[in-house]
Amino acid sequence: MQSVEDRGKTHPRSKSAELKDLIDQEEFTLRKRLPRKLPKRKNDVYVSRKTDFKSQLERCKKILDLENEVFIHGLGAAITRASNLALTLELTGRGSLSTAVHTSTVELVDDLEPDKEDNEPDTFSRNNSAIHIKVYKVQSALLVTSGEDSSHR
Amino acid sequence: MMVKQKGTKRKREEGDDILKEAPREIGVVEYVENRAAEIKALHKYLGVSRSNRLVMQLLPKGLRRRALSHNIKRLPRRLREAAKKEYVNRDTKARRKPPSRKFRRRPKNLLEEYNRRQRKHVWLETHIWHAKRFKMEEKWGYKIPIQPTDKSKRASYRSTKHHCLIQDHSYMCCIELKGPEHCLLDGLCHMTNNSTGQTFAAKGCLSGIREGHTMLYCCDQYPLQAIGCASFLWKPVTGSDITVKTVRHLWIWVHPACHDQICQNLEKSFQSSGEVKTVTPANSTGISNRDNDKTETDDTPQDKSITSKSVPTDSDNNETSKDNSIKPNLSSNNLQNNDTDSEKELVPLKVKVGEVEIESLKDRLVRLRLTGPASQTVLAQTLQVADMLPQAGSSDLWWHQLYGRDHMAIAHTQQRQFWNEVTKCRSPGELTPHLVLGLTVRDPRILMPDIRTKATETQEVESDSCAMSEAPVPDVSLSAIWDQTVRSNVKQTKLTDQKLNHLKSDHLIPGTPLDLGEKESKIPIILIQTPGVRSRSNGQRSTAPSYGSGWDIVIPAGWSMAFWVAFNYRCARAGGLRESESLAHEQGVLHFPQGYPDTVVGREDETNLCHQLMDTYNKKPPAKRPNYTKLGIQCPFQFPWRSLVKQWAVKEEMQDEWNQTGGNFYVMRDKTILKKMSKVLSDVTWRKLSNENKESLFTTMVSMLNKNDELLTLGNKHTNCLVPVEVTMVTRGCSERFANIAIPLQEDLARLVSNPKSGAPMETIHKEETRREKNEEKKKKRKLQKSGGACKTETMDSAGKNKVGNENKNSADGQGEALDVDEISVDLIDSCSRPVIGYIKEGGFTLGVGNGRGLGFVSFIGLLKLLDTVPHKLPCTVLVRSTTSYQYRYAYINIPY
Repeated sequence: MQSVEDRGKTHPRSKSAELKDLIDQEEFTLRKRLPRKLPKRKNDVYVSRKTDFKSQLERCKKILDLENEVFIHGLGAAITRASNLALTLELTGRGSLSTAVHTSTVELVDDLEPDKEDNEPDTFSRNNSAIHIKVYKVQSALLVTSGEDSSHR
Repeated sequence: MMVKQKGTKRKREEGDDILKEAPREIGVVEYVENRAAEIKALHKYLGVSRSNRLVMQLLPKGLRRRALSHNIKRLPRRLREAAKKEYVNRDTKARRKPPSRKFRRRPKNLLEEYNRRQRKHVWLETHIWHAKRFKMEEKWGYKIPIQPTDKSKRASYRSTKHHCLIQDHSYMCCIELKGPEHCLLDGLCHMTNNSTGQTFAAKGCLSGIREGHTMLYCCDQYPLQAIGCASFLWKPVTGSDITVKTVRHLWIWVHPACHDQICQNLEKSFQSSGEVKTVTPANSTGISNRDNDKTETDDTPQDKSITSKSVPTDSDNNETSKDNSIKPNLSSNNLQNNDTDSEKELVPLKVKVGEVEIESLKDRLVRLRLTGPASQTVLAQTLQVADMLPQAGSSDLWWHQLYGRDHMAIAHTQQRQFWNEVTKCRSPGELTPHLVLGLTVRDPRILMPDIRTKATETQEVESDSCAMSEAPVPDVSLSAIWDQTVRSNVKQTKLTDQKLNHLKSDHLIPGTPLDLGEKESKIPIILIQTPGVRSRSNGQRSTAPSYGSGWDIVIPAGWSMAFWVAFNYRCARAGGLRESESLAHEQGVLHFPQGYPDTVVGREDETNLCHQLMDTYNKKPPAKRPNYTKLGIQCPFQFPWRSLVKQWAVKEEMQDEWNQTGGNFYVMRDKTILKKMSKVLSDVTWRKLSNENKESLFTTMVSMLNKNDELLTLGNKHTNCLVPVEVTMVTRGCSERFANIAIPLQEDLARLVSNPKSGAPMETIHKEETRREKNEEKKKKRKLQKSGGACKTETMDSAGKNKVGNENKNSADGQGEALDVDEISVDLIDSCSRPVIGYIKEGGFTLGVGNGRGLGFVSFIGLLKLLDTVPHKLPCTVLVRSTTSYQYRYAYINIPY
């Protein structure tokens, strides 16, 4: 559920500029496909630019009440939001939570749709960076009190 | 009686001056003669009791007595006469008892009853399933499920967003065209236009791996006389047999309401193209349309035999197309020439024009639509690709004959591989848009779970993420469903549910899956991806990308129920027509009959809606319904598109341009113009973002001006056109159907800039005629008629009529009656405090965005006027006012393309 609109703006690339020219001249329309989704477990949280930060924080807390870890994923422009979420979560945990960060590259596909019938539809693939943050309960904290959950709130 | 009353009333009202004008004498005989008929009618009216109830049933409860029906003296005296008459004239023969339920439910009788009921409106194959759970309506010659009785709109929205919604779209009609590619394209180009986007000749669609969508117009009438939108599918040609002369197959899917119109226009356009290019003997002799048909049917007996043979086989065990089964008797023998028209109506259309064959496949194919991310898993579990074991000896099974050929066998394995890849995707939005995939699958009834179980996602992680990014080879899209013989064969060899259940019950261990081996049916199907919402660069709060993506599945007739139930057992939620409408609303796209006001079907839809709304309005007492005169709404139930466009043209003194097209409006569908205009609107939006940067502001302003000039020249060209717009509310409010879109004044915009949360302006209360004024007007009118020297009786009559008319006016203030929307004399534009440029066609709260949003149409000239007024601080803003409120609301406007 990543916001697709401004992804290209993050770093100006000559390739995308080229593409833009192509779109302007040859009357193609650029349509973005959904990024390939990963399987969704119960403790996966996908962050987009549009989701409400507060509610997502609540959601993560709720998951942590039941499970030991939560995975926060962010793609492109949502990376900052995802890391913000994870850090806030860590802060509210008062030392009982810790994070592990993993980054990756996601291949995204754009469709070039011709407005004129003589052109063949085309695809254009580009890469975008993604972040996967594991927020988990620290072992020692688990051992000391399992009833500390209430302090998260 | 009435006459007398009127006379006295008049006397009282008008006093002496009337007496002066009164005639000296009255010819009594003449006077009575003139009124005799009226009196007679009154007598007749009073004499007959109008309800179909008995006299004693009309009695108020307090006067009812025990044993009324036996003893007439228990009735009040005044009613005894009538009751006696009724008693004498009563139907002595006892009412025949309806046959018992047990009798009626016998399979044979039930089937007869069903056949009788679907004579008028065709039932979908899933009709009985739907009729138990849905609100059904007769529409476009079909019985169509409208909405489930148990679920709200929101539940359906959730299923499209997170799960899977399934709808039966079998009422969509398919038209098959056969012929050499260049012939087909030559003919079809008369009905489409390049500028509206992709047409039938689109390169991406020609190979058959993608489905295309286009807008159809009457033969050579673009941009006027739009018919409707259509989706089309070319049958893929496999590598070996591509030549220029190859016969290509094309399926055009159209809405049932415009099916006939499209068929006629197809014939016409192929004839006109045939006359120019390829002159066949049939064409050269036959000039008119009908002549051609006759010669065709006479000249080609084989052709005829095919139709008459194919029809009965196709409708043998088809419950739904019962009208088909009546047809063969009529069509088989050679009817007289003057009967050809009626014959044409009955027989599914099959015409050959030149080298092109047009055949309507109405009700021969089933189309189901699955929407939502879970449609992927639902499909993956329901559709199991059939095994085509290589057979040594030739057998009469269709798949042995078909897949015995090498290239077909290769295609089958390719399809299987591709389908396996596809099912690994989490959402249909990740795939190539409008992808077409042919498959041959196993009987879904055998693979059905015992109870309704939710299709669960597989949890494995896929590594090759972009395997699906490239378009597949045409082989993947090839399906045996294109073959007529295969279709009928599949239908005939279908095992009945009863037989299957019998076989199941024979198992020693209950619940073990059936293994029928060769006997099991294999069904050729086509899967078509629908991409849903495509990302838009502009638009403030756009819907989630790929919302509404899913699959369309095309199955041969007769198999609808099997697949339908199988999908339902995988927890796909069923939806109806209302769900399609709300889905279109959520996606922000126009839905077919409603969103196309310049088509015949669209106009019909509007008038139907108008009658419906007016009925409900007129049923309410005046105090319990909005007073549209006070609200300043001219057309609360209709869309006066034509008048609006015309009045804008007159206002801007462009009447000549208006007259150019014979006074007809049309909807702008030219992609390049729409794009340009959308860009201008978004440029205005963009300026907001960078208004500190003066330099860039300057340059954009210059470019804006240039573009405006461009648009002005366009405006001269397209004076009488409507532009589809999307209206998103800025803060509060919800744009509803019939709401006015108006140009804001400068002070309104200044208010919005200074305090965005401040309420928008209010419309002043319009003055309504008081009763006294109305009476005076009436008097004046009467006087005028009198002085006109008309015959006395006539004046009386017309006065009476006038009264009725005025009463109507009283009740609804002119809106109680359907106005002729095309010729409205009232000023539509300037009657309110803000000039009106258009109306909202479909609107409401959008769950996906959490905001009010509507789609509407505005006059092109009005839109240009709007662009002039926009200050350089704001995105393009309009005011929207719904029909029942004085409150205007701010809304952003942009053009979807």
